[in-house]
Amino acid sequence: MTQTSATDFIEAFLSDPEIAPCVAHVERLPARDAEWAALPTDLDARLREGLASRGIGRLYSHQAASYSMVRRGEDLVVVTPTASGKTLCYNLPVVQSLLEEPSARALYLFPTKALSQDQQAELKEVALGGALPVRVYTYDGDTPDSLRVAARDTGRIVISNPDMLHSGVLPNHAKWINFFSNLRFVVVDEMHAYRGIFGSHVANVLRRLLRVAAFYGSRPRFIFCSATIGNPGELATALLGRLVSAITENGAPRGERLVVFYNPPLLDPVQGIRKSTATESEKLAVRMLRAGIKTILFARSRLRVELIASYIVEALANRYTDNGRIKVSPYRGGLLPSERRAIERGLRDGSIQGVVSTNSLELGIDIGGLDAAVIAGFPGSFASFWQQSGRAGRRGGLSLAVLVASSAPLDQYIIAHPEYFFGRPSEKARIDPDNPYVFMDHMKCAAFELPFREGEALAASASLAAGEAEGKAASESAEALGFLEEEGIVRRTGGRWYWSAAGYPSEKISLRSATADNVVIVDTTGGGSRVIGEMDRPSAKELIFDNAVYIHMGRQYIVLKLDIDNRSCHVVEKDLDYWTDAVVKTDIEVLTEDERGIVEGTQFVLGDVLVRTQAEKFKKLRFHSHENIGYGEISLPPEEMQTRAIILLLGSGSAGASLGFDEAGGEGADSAIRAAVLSGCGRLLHDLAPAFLMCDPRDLGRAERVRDPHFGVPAIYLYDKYPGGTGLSEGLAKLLGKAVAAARERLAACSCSGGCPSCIGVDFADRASMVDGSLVKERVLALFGAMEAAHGGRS
Amino acid sequence: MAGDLRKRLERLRKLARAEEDARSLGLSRASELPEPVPLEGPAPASGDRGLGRREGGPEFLKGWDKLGDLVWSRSLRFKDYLGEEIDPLPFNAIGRRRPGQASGLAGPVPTGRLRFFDLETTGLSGGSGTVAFLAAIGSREEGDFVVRQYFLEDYPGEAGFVRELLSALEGRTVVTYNGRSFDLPLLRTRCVMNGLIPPRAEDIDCLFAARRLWKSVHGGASLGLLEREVLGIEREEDVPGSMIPDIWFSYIKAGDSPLMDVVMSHNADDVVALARLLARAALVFEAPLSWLASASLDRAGLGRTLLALGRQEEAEELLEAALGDGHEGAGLVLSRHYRRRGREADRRRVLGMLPESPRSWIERSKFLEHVERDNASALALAELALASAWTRRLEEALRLRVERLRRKLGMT
Repeated sequence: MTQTSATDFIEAFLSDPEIAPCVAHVERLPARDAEWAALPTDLDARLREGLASRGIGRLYSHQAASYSMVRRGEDLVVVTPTASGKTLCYNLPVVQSLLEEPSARALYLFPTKALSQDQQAELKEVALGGALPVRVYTYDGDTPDSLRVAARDTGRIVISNPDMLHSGVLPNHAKWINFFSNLRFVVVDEMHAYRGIFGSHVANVLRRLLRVAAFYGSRPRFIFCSATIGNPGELATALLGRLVSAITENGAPRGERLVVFYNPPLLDPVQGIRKSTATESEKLAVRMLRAGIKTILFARSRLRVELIASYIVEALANRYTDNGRIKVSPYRGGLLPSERRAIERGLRDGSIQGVVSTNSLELGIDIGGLDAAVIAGFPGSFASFWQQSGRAGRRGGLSLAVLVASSAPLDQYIIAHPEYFFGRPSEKARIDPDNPYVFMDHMKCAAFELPFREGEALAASASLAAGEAEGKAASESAEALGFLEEEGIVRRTGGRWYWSAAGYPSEKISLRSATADNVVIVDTTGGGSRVIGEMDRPSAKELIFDNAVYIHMGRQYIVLKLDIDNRSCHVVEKDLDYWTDAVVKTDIEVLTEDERGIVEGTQFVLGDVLVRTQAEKFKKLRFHSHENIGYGEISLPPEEMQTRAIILLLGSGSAGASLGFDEAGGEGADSAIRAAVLSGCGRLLHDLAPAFLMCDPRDLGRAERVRDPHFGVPAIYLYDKYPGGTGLSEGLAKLLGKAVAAARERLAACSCSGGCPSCIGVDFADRASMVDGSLVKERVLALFGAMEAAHGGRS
Repeated sequence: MAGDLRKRLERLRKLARAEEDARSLGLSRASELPEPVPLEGPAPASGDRGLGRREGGPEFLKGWDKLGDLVWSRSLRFKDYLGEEIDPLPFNAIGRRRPGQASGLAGPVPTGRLRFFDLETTGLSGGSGTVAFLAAIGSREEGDFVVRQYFLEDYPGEAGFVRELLSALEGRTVVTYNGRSFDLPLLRTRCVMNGLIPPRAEDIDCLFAARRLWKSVHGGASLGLLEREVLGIEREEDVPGSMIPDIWFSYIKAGDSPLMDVVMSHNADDVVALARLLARAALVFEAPLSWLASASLDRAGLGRTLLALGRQEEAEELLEAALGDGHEGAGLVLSRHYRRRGREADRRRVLGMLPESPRSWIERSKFLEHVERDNASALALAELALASAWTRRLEEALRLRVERLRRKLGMT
């Protein structure tokens, strides 16, 4: 939008009597001037010309800094917020080097296919549309056979994604002999996407890449680009397994941006009930769309995206039955690629004015400039928030981002602490490349790619001192190989380990989830059979069980049959006024106690646990009102998973005392209160941990035991939801003090009388109506106080 | 990472086993691990597994000579069916060209230069972890067809094994069945993995010609099928290809594998069959009109191949004959051929002979629009075809055609 119309709209928006009372905070991020640097003196004249033709006669400071670091031969990571000219950070030094060395090659990795297609267009511009002798090819699942050969043999820059590298390129490296022999650079863009399980896999794919490159005698340098996160250097180092230095200063100019914190009105302060995030976000988005403002709305889950999109379309349809000038589309994972491409095109060419998206669009897909972003609920990480809000106003000028807080403790905590929000990013992205599931998967792939020599390791972990790390890596690799030998899939002979099975291991290993098997969703409406999406098996058990309502592209389907054995789910289209939500029961068994921390009276244990989850029944919730209109049974086998957990033991010392715990065990009413206190405490810690951990609350599981069968004391379990763990439990152990302090603060600030969705929840009200909420709240507060004192010395 | 990797792996394995067991109660899925090979024939005497290996090899290596460390070889003699020369053009005019390969062979090749080549491997999907452990190379020698086989006894001998193959193939014309997609790329990969220079040999891949000549008649074009149906050879004993990797794995792990000798004869039989199939196909290409009235091969496929070779008259005769017997594909090829030659009268005649079908409607619609200028009839046929379009892409193309015709007719 133009500057004046934007200012007018925002002024009217903020002073609207319906909106103003809900605005908790307005942060005006001023425009910032660029910090310039001269073009590098050694830059090829052709590149210089190419830049000039795009009106570029100088660089931003961070672009110049990356150029000189790359040219010095360093591995580096550049922090590049949206629209800061990040592509030149790597394109310039890489293309320059490729011009100097005619045989040199580079590999560009993007987390998604769509991004690589954008990138190829961008590179063509840098490479002067083919005038320079630098051929660029995209090599992914969509590349036709005829182009694959050319990409391998003549591609100077090959653009791909980690999945393709994993299952297409590395297992066939001999066909890429020219490429690998001359591989000088690897560019890893959108690095912040490589966290959690995906990042843990990608770290191992890079280990394999380095191993294959070394086989052909090359040692490529790495350039990482990342959104703003708390630990770019650390994450890059963990991904690469060698030290990577970071450029965190950014020299790009920035348009003025308004970030508004919007807290939906409190309907009942005592019970802490607020108007729903979904309907409030819908209301704001509709208002913007009707004012002619292109708007993107981000929601937390696929289901919410579909719900909110349908609400918006409904709201607009009432007023615009005759003209469909405002078109709004849902956009999320699980759509077919062609559906997604069509939406991206619509956004760019202006035929779609609004989009409701999961975080799939937060990555840098170029959808053209949008004017406003509405973020329905804190997206789980600050990096995501900034990426999402950055979608508004990519082309500069004034832009607006509205965070609509949910009643979740995390949102309420953040909305009350703008200084924390707008201060330095503190959250850290974590991966665990040594997750045994992930590591074993990639040992198989690596053994398939090249036989292991005696004493050879897949990679050294960068967190240890060089000598020690190599020894440890070698012994872990040897252990893994020994294990695979017993399984009969590698053979040890003549001082080497050879892959000795008929399969093609990477085919069965998905980088995106811990389990490779997906359930295919088939629409059988009218006797047909059309694949409309897929879902990983554990999620399928909780989302598309028999009689569940599945929403796809605004259409409702009911599940006829989820067939886990055949990995298929048959649905038919059906108009219903409700959606479904599974009630999941969780059992935990402690497998190992690897590390114990004892601070004053409070202990924690880090270890492996077996988590057994079972969806037993489901609720039917009416659209709009979200009221519960019935239950149904689910009969599916339980899902079992081994993972890492941090277990807080609250049996002794001041924490135990404040919980009213005594070794002998208490009587009826007291134990109900203790259960409520423990669960409130666990819930709040669980919900606030993502403020520090850079993960989604859904990446963490929780459970509380008043008298834990393993430890014999009250215990709170917080565990990683991915098999084998992704480092969250270890991360939480270091940040426990902060999380406890934040939890105590949130609870103390909460207006409710005896628990509400914004603090310790109200679950206990269901279980025992006897329990007095205000007493529970008081005890949880005391418990946090005690824990905080106990953990005061840590972190 | 905290925790003892070994112990964690043990636990994972237990969990995986339990899942596997649970699954096998329901739907059975192919296990990732090699299954033990069923024992047929005499079981090895207990106690001397592995021992035999050190002492000159297991039973199945009797009659084989040791060429080097872990590499064995033998020669078998068969009857020779090949003539003195072969014309490679009909085989190479169609089908997949090897990446980076020049147009290939020009004139006739003396059959003495041919090396019939087939690999047995540890997997069918290729990739750097798939190894060839058995190779057969057939050639004409002193009036016989001689098959020399090479056997890799275990992984560490691979470089030597590959070197033997390279020296046997170097500078010759390599004849394969699907070798352009499988055996030759795999051989190149094995060279790279062992630091050897990949061979530079001309080649003939018989698969493409065989497909055109026989696939539609026999419902397939696997070498085994054509060997039986076209050459009339029944093998006494054979193994399904899918079992072959596990037979070798079972040998390297257990020291013997009772079915290995069957795999070895399978491999030799394959190149014998390949040579005879090449000879048979060459015969067809030499005198194609002898098959004018025959139903034992696909005259349309043969006609198309001859068209590609510029042997127009023979091609037309075969295609017309096939069309006369109601072969739709032949008619469509002819129609396009006549269009390119501007022979519209012939095209009209051919289209009149085509049976009613979506494909013929499309072809007739084009003819009506561009030659007869009868847009209304063209539209009717295009709409008919659109209603039964069988792919998304075709549907799209037909939709455009219908729209254009409607515009021409002023119907929009």
